[in-house]
Amino acid sequence: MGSDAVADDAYLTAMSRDVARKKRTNRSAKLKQCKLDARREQWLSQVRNKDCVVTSRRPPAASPPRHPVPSEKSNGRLKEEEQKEEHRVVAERDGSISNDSEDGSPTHGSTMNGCPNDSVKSLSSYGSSSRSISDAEEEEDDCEERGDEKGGMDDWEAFADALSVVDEQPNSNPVAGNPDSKSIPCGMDKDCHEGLAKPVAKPMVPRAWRPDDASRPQSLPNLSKQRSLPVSTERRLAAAGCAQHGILSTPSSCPICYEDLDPTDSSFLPCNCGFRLCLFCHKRILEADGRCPGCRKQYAPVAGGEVRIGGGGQPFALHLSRSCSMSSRT
Amino acid sequence: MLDVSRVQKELAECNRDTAISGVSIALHDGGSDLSRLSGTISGPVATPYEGGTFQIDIRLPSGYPFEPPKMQFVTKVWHPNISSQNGAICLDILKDQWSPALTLKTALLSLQALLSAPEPDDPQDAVVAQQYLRDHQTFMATARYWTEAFARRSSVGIEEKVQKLVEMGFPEDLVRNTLESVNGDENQALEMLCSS
Repeated sequence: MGSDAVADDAYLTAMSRDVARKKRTNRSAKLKQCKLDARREQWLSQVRNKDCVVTSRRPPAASPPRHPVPSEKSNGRLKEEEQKEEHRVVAERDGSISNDSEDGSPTHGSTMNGCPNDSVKSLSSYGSSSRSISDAEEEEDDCEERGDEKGGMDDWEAFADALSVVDEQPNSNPVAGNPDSKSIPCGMDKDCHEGLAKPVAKPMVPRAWRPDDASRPQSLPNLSKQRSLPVSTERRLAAAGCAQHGILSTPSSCPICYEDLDPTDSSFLPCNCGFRLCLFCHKRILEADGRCPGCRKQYAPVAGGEVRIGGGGQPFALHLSRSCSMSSRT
Repeated sequence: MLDVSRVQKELAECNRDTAISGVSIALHDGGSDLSRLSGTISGPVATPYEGGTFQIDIRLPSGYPFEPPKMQFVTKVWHPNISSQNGAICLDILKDQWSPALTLKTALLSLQALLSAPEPDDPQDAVVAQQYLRDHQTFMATARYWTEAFARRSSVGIEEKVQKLVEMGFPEDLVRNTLESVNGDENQALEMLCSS
């Protein structure tokens, strides 16, 4: 267990470095990650579907795989190499784990070769991770580090799959997963570690986490990013619709102060009559008699229901009311 | 506190199509104070005010456009909702029904509409309102007479034109006669005076 303690220490230092690195991560990297996540998710779902078909046809105790084994094996070897490479990157950062990784990877590789059917899936997620790693290696230093981070994220699911595969196969060594899990900490952060405990506790999860999985770790990062994608496209569409109707309904400048409406103002719809005005003028009117200039009716007491909808912080509430107004118009 | 940029834009906007709308706004007495303006509306056709040009004094409060502009007829008008004494106007949008979405132009257009559609049940001038309700014919005649007498285009600012031409060296009575003959057109009068 002494080696464990060393590994943990090294892991902690790696983690703290990761935190520092995360701060440096810029927007473009996030975007890239977002795209990668989306692509991987698509790929995973496809493979999952295929896999389901295969398993339904196959009897449960079928031992010899009918899949083209050589390619799988070569893939497994490729993966092994990648893993080693990855560990080397980590070893450069904190040399203490290098021994551990040497121990871990062969066992891991053997398990992969032992069950090629299911390894298709884990390979799939591995494919994405290896891609991100190779991408990162081509890029400059800090980019490489970021790529490692990404690789770590992707690896998590791959390893989860691998572990569950190990549990599924009774003849393979059930402990094989555990040394692996210790050797993993390559650029991984806490989330992944917490997540690793799950597959061990719940052995019958032979697939990656779906976004709607109940037992999926909450801290898994790619959920919000994937959500942000459709939202932004929806907003863009709404904006396009807005531009189409713009000539008719949305004024380009506030009819009260004649100043140009900024995007926030132009999506601000305080009254049912559809009269638009800038937030400054709206506030000014609320301070006075609080009647809509368009229809002379009293504004709603909670200022257009912003607070009621949101419940959270003010910017969030504003964002919600905006999207509501958009959807109601289209 | 007066929203200067809005007032300036309103003036430019209003004076862009004066010929069509029949309303115009200028700075009061050619001054530079944006809170004192002078509006002009032409009398609507098919009313006793047709052919007249009515001047309206406009004062913008500091809270404009959140407070209504103060408007008053300078030109004498015979109308149930306009005081025949001081030109005060009884119009809801200039009081409690004002909206910041309204502009000086729309307010002047509303005054034009008021000229063509009097509201004798909510009068400003009780005498005129009484006459409007009881003796409509006399009301029409009086209103037409007042328009002819006070709101004729020629009579708007006639004294200034006379003074200007007199300063050029023309006798005052000749100037008056010439101006009258050309219906108040200053340039035409000057041409006639020079050629005679």
